[in-house]
Amino acid sequence: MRARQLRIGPKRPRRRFRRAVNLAAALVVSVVLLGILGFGYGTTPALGPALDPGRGAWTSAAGGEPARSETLGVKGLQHPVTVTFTSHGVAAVSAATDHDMFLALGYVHAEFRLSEMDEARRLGEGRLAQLGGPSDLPSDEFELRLGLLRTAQQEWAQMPKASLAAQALTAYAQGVNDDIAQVRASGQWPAVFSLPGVYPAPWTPVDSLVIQGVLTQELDFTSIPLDYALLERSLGAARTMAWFPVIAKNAQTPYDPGPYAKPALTPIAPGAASTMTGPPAVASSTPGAGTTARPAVTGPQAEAAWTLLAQLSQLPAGQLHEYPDSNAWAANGPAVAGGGALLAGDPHLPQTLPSVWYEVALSAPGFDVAGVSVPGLPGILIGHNARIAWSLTDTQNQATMFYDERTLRSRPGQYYWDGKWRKMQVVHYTIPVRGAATRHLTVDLTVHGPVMTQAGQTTSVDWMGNVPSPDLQAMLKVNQAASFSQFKAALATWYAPTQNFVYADANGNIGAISAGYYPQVGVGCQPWLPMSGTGRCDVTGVIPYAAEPQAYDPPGHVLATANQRPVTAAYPWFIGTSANFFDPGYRAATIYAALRGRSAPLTTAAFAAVQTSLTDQLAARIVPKLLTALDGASLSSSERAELPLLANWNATMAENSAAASVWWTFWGDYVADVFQPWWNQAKVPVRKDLAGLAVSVGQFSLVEDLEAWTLGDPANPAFSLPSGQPRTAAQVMRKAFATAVTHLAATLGGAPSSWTWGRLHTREFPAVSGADGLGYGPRPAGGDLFTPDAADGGLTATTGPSWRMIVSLSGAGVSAEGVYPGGQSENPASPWYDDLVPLWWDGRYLPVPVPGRAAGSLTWTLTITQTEAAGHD
Amino acid sequence: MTDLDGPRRPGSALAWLAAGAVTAVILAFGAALGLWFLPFVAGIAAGIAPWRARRALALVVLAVAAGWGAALWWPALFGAPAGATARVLAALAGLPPHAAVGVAATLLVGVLQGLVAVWLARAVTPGVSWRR
Repeated sequence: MRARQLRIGPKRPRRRFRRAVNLAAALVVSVVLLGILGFGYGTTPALGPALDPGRGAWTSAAGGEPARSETLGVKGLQHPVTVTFTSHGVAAVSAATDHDMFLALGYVHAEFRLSEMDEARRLGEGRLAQLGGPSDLPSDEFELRLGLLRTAQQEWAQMPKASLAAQALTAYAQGVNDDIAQVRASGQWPAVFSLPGVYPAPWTPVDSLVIQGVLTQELDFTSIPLDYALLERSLGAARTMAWFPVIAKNAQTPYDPGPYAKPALTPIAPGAASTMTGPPAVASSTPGAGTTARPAVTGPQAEAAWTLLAQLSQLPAGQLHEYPDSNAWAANGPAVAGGGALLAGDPHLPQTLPSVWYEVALSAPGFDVAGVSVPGLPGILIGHNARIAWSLTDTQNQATMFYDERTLRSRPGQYYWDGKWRKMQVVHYTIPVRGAATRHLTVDLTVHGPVMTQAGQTTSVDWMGNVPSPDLQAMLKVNQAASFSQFKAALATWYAPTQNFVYADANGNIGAISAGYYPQVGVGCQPWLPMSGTGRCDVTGVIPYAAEPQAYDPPGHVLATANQRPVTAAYPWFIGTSANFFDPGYRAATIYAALRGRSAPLTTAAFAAVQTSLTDQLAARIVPKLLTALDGASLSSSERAELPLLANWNATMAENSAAASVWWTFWGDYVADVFQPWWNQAKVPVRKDLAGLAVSVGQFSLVEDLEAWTLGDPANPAFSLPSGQPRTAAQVMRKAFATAVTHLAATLGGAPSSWTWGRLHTREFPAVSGADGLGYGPRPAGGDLFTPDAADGGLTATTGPSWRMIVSLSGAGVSAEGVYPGGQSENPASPWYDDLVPLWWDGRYLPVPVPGRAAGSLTWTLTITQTEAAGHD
Repeated sequence: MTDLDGPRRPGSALAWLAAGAVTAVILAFGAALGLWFLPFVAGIAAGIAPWRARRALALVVLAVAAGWGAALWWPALFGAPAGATARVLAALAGLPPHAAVGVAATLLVGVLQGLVAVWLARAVTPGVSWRR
């Protein structure tokens, strides 16, 4: 055929043409393929080197190999350091100097959590898009506007370099960089680096301070004033403040019942974004009292609010605080079996793989401390030393204030403040974007803080997290404290995030202090709304440290914080409204009931039972009212079948409880039946911020209202319809119950007894990387928003107890047990990736290693070397 | 692609096997050195070798699978969690999180290079004398 074709003259040009086309196509495809494989395209990484089986991402397998005893050369050490590990990878560092201890901690953190640390600093420094592409730009722009990086740089600049914190940060950064150098030399990067081909920059003290800022933001930054603005504009001011009041309507259990002193305000620390406008003024003595007539929220203000809320809605999950769920409590003296003191702590945070925590014991001449650390930061955040133990819950006070800046088109770049037009400071940023052009961002700064939006109304934010705060110095002093006075003294310079620090010591004392900044504004101003930026509503100072909520050796020998308002309504300062994430108090009530209602002195086992308690206090209060409302009512067969389940239910949100399903579904319908008609009538723009504006069981103000009305004001006008049709609590409850049963029958089918909570409700621990398949679950689970063993995030819960710790303290010593849902390694191929999850799930604990003692037989000996990347022998 | 299907002088099966084995070994060692583009070079070589197109293509596919497969398998012999790592890579790439997917994606990168290279080689040297 070929020979015949060669003989046929007219076909030769066609053949040549086809060959030319074929050659051109082959060339183009080859060049394109090699180009894409070699250099990547857009957000697609260079897959050639990334997937090279001998190099590239495959070498991350080395990080998944079980650790073994070895000697490692580490640059910068003054003396050899020993790191031992338990069979679960929990580390114990023993060093001859504090410097070496922090350096070794940095090294160990980086060895097991480098990509998590890098991700966290990228988030705070606005560098996520460099790794993830344009989809991460909203987060980068928000963070650079808000200013975590600016604050961290300012903190480092202000920090005395001879201070404990500066020394720790420097040594810690050296340890991280030692590990990075060794990984670079071996080429065995974690896959999240080698796949995209973007590798971590050297670690600096500012990076650690940025991570401190990220945690502060996650616990302390709030958009509630923007939501209030939109609620006021739709529902009206009176109804908004009636339904989202400053002080919650239901009964709660503050840990500091008073009496309260009222000394003069303390000036805010220098360097804050907010500025004193004069001598500290006396704030309103009663929250909300003394307010002056204020114009209604305007259209431009509302536009600014929803523009900013739209920005916030694009942030990655967990970047802002959404759930107020942590527990910490202590008991002492006769309340504790054998005397002494017991302390329990379980901070509730997004439950991810890897976890936010890294468990470790640290020993050096200045430290003997154990508990959980945060990868990226030196020291122990929650734990114990040889004399004391402590844990934290978020205070939930309002630390974010929004200001309407007065601007004019004729005066670009200026704002009016304190009687004069002022120039805004301008900061320029460039944001590298993977697969797209570099983005340039300009941030305007007023005296209040960064301008977050100029849509409608120029709005700036004054956030206490932007006040340079020596938190790390305070935390390291807490690590060293041996008494409550030292503990309190250490926390005097802790500004943000405001935390309830619960304390116990080996002498059998217990206490708590809610340390941090509680900003106060001018008289007549309403900080729960965006305020005038002309000066009269500026922050005038903060509550004096001595007057902050606190308790020491309470007469009942127990105290508990579970994010409930820590003080009563008699507290003479504004600390936030009911919508400011203060917990409705159900967890605190359950904990107090267990501690005070003890039939025998408390033990670690009793504390563990409370930490894993699935009791829903709200259900315990409301279900009897529901049964009363249903008594004698005309019910369907399915509804009748539910009555004995509810009547015999102990308000436990157990996975196998059918009554739990009915209760939770009923409660959601009840909340909606009461409030949704009003929302519809007022056209509340819920789509602008579902979490903040929609009617749901997560709207704690509404939950508190409804509980209070159901129990004590069943004819409240809110039960009636906006049309004027009168209704009572009992009528709405019957309707909601019918709706719930119908819904469950349609969703789950079968007999009502088969409608178990686990069929509706699951827990999931997603991977920090966001990759499907690298997380844990979803898996049927008990719990809800209001149980001490909290499950937040909807019917697939992703937030809850991120660490459970119980510490026993007495003259005989201090011992602790703890567990978190995750594992010590971030490498999903490692046996230490999620090996702690089953223990956590079953409510079991492991001993926390004792500082100064070997955690296990597996040992790393870190030796001194001068080589940059000495690494493994 | 018509050129690839044209008549070629059949080479010795033994030589073909030997070439495949040598290529696989070279690809395995090359991968260890980070030479991720060697499958393309191998494809060029196979494309201009004295075999029919199908044999050249088969040689490249099998050599890449064997060579890169060996490079993946070798660390597992010493305890590296290769299967788990394959699953992780698949997940991070946004693919179904299964080890087989991770391995397949990796081999696909090599095989694609080899196939395109064979095509290019034969397009550059259509009907050269040693293949007639």
